[in-house]
This record gives sequence, structure tokens and C-alpha cells, in this order.
Amino acid sequence: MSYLALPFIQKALIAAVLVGLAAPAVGTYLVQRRLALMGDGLGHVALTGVALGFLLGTSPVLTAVIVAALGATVVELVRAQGKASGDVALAMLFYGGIAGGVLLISLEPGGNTNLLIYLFGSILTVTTEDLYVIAALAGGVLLVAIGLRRQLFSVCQDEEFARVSGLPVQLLNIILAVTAALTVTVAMRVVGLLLVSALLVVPVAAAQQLTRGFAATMAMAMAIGVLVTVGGVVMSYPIDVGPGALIVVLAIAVFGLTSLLAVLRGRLRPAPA
Amino acid sequence: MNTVVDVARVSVTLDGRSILDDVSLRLATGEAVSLLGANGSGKSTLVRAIVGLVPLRAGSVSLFGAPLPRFRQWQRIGYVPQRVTAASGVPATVREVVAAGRLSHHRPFGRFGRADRAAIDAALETVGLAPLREASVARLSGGQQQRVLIARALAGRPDLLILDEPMSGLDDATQQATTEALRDLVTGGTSLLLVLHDLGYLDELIDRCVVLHGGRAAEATGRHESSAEHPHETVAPPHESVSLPATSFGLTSSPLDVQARR
Repeated sequence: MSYLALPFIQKALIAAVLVGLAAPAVGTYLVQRRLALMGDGLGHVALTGVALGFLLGTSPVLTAVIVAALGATVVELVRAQGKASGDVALAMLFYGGIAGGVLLISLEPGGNTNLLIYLFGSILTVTTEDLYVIAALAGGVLLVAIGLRRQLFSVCQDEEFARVSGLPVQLLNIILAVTAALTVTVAMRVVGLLLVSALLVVPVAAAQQLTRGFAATMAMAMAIGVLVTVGGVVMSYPIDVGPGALIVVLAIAVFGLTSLLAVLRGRLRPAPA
Repeated sequence: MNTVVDVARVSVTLDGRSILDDVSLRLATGEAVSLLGANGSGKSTLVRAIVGLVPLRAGSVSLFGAPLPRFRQWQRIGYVPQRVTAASGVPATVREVVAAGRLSHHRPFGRFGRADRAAIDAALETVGLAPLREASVARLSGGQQQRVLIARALAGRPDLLILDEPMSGLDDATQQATTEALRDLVTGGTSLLLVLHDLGYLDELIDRCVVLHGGRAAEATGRHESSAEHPHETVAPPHESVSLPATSFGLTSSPLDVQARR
């Protein structure tokens, strides 16, 4: 285990902990609203942002944050107006994001191989500067997801009741959508844009096999998130595989395990009424 | 006596279809008023218009004397929507759902204190769900989930409680228990506006019925004589106030009598 002292592994571990905490925290609200695929849609839009960053010669993370946040806001507004249902709005995100990204990259002379870093993640190449950005974004995401948990819970659980409670429902929805967009751009360095949604959703799905409450589900999902991101980084080096895919495979393995436990628990004692 | 709800000549159109047409309704402090009518008569739309969930095409709504667009005292209102389930995509305990009823008393990032916990516990006691507070709502029966939604509205300690078909899906014993809980609230000065299919156990509690028929309303002062079974009596004449005098229904009491009894 001496490789754990290597500086790039330590940076990767710090990034893993931050992303492992932030992604499931936001993912819990998305699953609660039955918008589990929202993260995927935002990931696709972030690709356009990454491509734009390459084209303009600026930080791809910065442009990805801006484009994904804008995309999330537009989709939320479209959904609120009732002009398109949630899944149609998500479909637009998917196709528009990928097409926009590919189009912009083809504009760049000579193509760009760095794009692969963002598509499939590259946590082992995280720099100190990257860490500052990831820490700031993850901090903001956790502040919203935990600080506004009661308000966001109410809006995601029963939007009309939240409105009659006097909550600023539209604003909270946009805050959640933008927070999800930030999470996606944070997590893309770790697991890549193609798998980013898994980190938002799978730990939550795994946790809720065993939990009864919302706060408990979120806490357990965050614990599972850290477990699989750190586990993925630690295991990927000796067995020499890409950590991004390994993290997602681990998360799905945990889901399998908790599902099994839930079934066994159900057999042992009947569910309470 | 102060007016809690003032609906003045309200019309609502949804998807190009007229749902409410020139409906007026007043609710005084401490009154218990029931909205009756057949399916599709606009009862739910009327209460949704009162709490600002559907836009008005014409007319106005005031709550506690403030026009709806300027109304901010949402902590004074408890709303129980018509719902088949209180569950969502992630498990939530009964207590967590009921706690959402306290949010109208809080600013964002605010912390819940002793008063919040006491109100949540009291609301759970009222609907008889205290032993199930840590249970997952998704595992409860339909009637228990309905009681969760009632408790959520009660947790805000509202001055006006608006319930949309609160008795649907409740068994006999729970209907009686809910009626008792509502009676205590009315005794304590809470105003009630209930959408009901039939009065049932709530009969004695209700001061006044307003019957909706095809998006129009007729206000009756007694509770027994006005019912959905006599729709011909309940249609308001076009372009006139729908608050008909009691004599139109062959009743002896006037609105003032009802209020004086209280």
C-alpha cells in the first residue's frame, strides 16, 4: 500500500472524498423527484461546455459549469411552464448536449484527444489547481444540499404543498438544477461525463434499499459514495484499471449487496404496516 | 366578524375549458364551510384557486383581508391536497413529511426548534399516527397516508384549514376520529373549508354548505336542505351574485343567524 503516499494518489483521494460526498447528496433530490436521469442530461450538456472551453482556449471546467448551469435552468423553466414534460425536456438535453459538443470539437483544427479525459474521467491526473476548483464546487453543492434540505425536500416531495407553504418553489427548483449541474462538472473529472449520473443515482438507490427516512437515505448514500470513490481509487492502481469505471462498478456492486440484504431482511421479519 | 376567505366573482379556465364561472364565496373567522357538488363540478379547482395554485381568468381572491397576489402569511393556512399517496421516489418517514408543514414558519437555512418539534408531535397525536412516526410513508395504507397529509397541514398550526376530500379512503373509525380532531380545531377558533363528496360524520360540524354545479355556486345557510341531490336549486342565475338569500332555498335561517349561533 506504499503507493498511497504518492502525491497524485493523495490528490485523487481528496477529490474522491469530495465527489463521493457531493454527488449522492444532490442525487437524493433527483431520485426523490423521479428525475434520476437528469444528471445524464446535464452531463451531455457539460460536454458542449467542455468543447467550448477547448475551442476558446479557456478552462474546460469553467465553461462546462456555465453551460451546464444554463442548460439546467432552461430545462427547469421549460418544465415549470408545462410546455414539455420532464422526460421530453431531458431528451432535448441529451441530444442537444452531445450534438453541440461533437459539433464544436469538429470545428477545432486537428481534433482533441483531451476530450477523452472528460468523457471517461481521469482522477489520477487531478492537479492541485483542479483540487481547489473541485473543493470550492463541492463545498457549494453540500451547502445547498444540506443547508436547504428541508425546503428542497418539501419541493421535491409535494411541489403544490410547498407553494402553499409560501416557499419560493421556482427559485428552489432552479437552485437544485444548477446545483446538479455543478455536481456533474465536479464529478466529470472522477468518473467522466458518460458515467457521471451513476455517481448521483446509484448510491441513493443502494441506500434506500435499507432506509426508511429521507435524511437517513441521504446520509447513507453519501457514505456509500465516499466508500466507492475512495475504494475505486485505491483498488485501481494495483490492478491497473481506469478508476472511473471501477468506481461505478463498485457502486453497482454495493447496490446488489443492499438489495440482497433488503430481501433477506424482508424474509426474516415481515415489513411493518 | 372578520373575513378569512373572500372569493369575488371568480372564473377559472383550464386548457380552454371553463371550470369555474362567476363564483363567489365568503368564509368568516371560526366558520366551517363545506363545498359540495358532483365530480367535475369545480370543487377542487375552487380551493386550488383560493390557495393560488390555478390562475384566475376573472374575479379576485382575498385571504385574511389581503389580495392573493400580495398575500404572504402562508403560515396561517393549512392545505390538505387531494392525493392518492404521500410517498415519493425516496423513502421518507411520517415525521419528515409532517415536518414540511412547519416550513412556512421558517426562513431558508433556519433551524427547527422546540416549538416545531412540539407542533409536529401534537399533529401526529391528533391524527393518531404518533406510534408510526418513524415508519416509511410508502409502507402505510392509503387512509394512513391521508392522515399524514392532514397532520402535515395541522403542524403549521393554521388559522384556516383547507381540506380537499379529507375523508376519502378513510375507514369509519378514522373518519370519526378525524371529525373529532376537526371539531377541536373549530372550537379553538380555526376556520375550515372542506371539499366533500358527502357530509357524513362532518354534518354536525359544518355551519354552511356551498354547492357547486357545473362551475357555478350557490350558497346555502342551512346544511341539511342544500345538497347535490337538488342541483336545480343550486344553479345561480347568470350574471347575478351567487350568494342567494336563504329564502331561495325555503330556509328560515339567514347567514347572520348562522353566524350569531356561533
